[in-house]
Amino acid sequence: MNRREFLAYCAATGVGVTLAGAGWHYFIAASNAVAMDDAASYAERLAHLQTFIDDPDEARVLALLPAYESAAAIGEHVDGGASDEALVLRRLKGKLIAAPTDSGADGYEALRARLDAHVREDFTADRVVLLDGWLLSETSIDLCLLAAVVEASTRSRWSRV
Amino acid sequence: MSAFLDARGVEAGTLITTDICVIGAGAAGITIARDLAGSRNDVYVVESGDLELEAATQELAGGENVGRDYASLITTRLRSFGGTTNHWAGWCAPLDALDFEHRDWVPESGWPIGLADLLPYYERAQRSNELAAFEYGVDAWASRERPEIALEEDFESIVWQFSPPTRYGQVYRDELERAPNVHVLLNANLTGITTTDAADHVEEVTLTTLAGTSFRLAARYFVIACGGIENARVLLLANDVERAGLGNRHDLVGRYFMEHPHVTTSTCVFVQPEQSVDLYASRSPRRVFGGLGAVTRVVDRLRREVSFLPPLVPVRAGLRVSGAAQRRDGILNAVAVLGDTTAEDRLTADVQQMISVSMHPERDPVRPYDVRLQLEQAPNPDSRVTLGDDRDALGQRTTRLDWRLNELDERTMVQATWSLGRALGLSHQGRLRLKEWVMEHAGSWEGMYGGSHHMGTTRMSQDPTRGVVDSDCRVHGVGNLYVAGSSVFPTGGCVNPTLTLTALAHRLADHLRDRASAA
Repeated sequence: MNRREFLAYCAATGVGVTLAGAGWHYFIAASNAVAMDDAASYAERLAHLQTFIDDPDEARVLALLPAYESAAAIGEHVDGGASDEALVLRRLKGKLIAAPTDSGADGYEALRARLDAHVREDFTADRVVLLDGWLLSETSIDLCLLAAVVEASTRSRWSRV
Repeated sequence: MSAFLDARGVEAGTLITTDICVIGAGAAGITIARDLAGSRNDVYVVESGDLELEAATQELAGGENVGRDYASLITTRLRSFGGTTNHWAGWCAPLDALDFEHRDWVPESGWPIGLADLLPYYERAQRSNELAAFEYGVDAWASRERPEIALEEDFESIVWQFSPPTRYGQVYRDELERAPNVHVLLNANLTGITTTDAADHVEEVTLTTLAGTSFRLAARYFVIACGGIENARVLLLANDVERAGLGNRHDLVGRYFMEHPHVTTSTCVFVQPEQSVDLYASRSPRRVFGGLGAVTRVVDRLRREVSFLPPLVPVRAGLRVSGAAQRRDGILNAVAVLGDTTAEDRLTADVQQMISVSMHPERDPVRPYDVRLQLEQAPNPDSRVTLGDDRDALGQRTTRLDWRLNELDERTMVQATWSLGRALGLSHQGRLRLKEWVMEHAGSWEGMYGGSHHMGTTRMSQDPTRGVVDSDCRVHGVGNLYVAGSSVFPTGGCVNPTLTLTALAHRLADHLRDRASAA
């Protein structure tokens, strides 16, 4: 390798390392931004729900739904919004926020992880509901039922976050 | 240089002699002839049709369907040089190891050979079908833009490579013409097989043109390579000595006809609607060239001219029921393929948004996919090819096909659908919607069709009471008669048969070369 080739090699390596570093930085920043956006979005939804839902745990559970209207529509499809709100809520609280160490201050990530785990367990244990052919987990259906009840009872105040 | 001969120019009563006679010039027959080209053996390839399809010859493929609804026997296979490769779609994938094994829960399952026996021939079949390397793991083909759908249980991704598709008659014609020891005899229809009195050795065959001129061809070895239905018919028609047909002492010829039932049993949505499922829902070149079909064709043509260029091979993935799930549920193999659908309603949109991990699911386009299952069919002696009462233009009895599915087939279809719904859900990948008929009237098999994959009618087994041919594809009890093609499959797996039948043809060619040399 002569001097000119060596310099060209060094320059190319430098450009490559710089581009790779910039790419990695962008990737990490983008990943963090998505995680932060999820949490921020959850907090925004929760704040909105707390303005008209008295039970703070009910608001926390429902804020897990990024698409209230769709969930409520599915719940409505299941039983016309006639579910026993207290019963459904008790089931969901038991699954999502009744852990002994739960101080009521668990954040979005913890609740989301529990929800995902319960949905997974539902499918594993065949705790599923067939809704017009759609194979859905019981926990998801409970969320939808709760959304439908709240939607029906607070229709006038309900609006998109 | 060898010649392509026209049987219409052969004088009546002529006797042609050769070493190896291959009857049928489709994927199997041409593969065997190519492999024997340049050997010390004289080879005749006998083809019923001409270089191009002609209606009068194609009419000979006619017959009746008396079982399940099935495509017309005239359209589902072709009688011209190149055979049915003249209209195949090119889907290629190997059987998996379990497909070859005996499975307690699948009656009459199990090949006398295993995947390891066939692997070297699969490699050769890749080249014959103008495919890339023998690489069928999804890892080799998935990318960030076309990711794998990773399901945690019960399903694994498999890949099809797509042949251009190779039209064997066009692609390999020059090669066979250059082979000094290979002769291709066109417009010659098999109308008789003459055996010894004990029917343990074929002495010659009678060939007849549509005009009625007959002549004979004697050989040391004969290979019947006429397709999954016709192979059985040929043996059944050869009943001068063995009244039930040649190789049919145990009433097995024509039985165990299998297909790959194709049926859309569900639709699905994914938790990441923006995530590409293109690897599963479309072939790749359309993506590579942005839908510019003309560019794809030019590159493909260039590749054919410049042999050192790597093949441009499209791929598509499917989700196959894992071996563990087949064992646990006692079902057959099956693979799910995604496709476009128009089945979209408000509830579909609500479900997609409800499960979505998107920040603003309401803004995402609703994107459901049809889920089409391609199923293995259980070996079933009542699903069969027999001879009909009608006669064709040459005076031979036509084909009668009685295609039947059984309880295991139906259970596999239903169970695979439920399992996929469960696997999508527990893996946080998506949700599935079962078709109403699957839940309530599964036996109706609504919209089901066969893939024109004809298998099983001369099945392979080392036991003459359970199979027509042995592991060398030689007809039990007949020393010099072989069968090539998917009719020898004892079970058919769930993927398209051409790659496997081509691999078996390469294997048979090696066997014939060795045996002829030894003799």
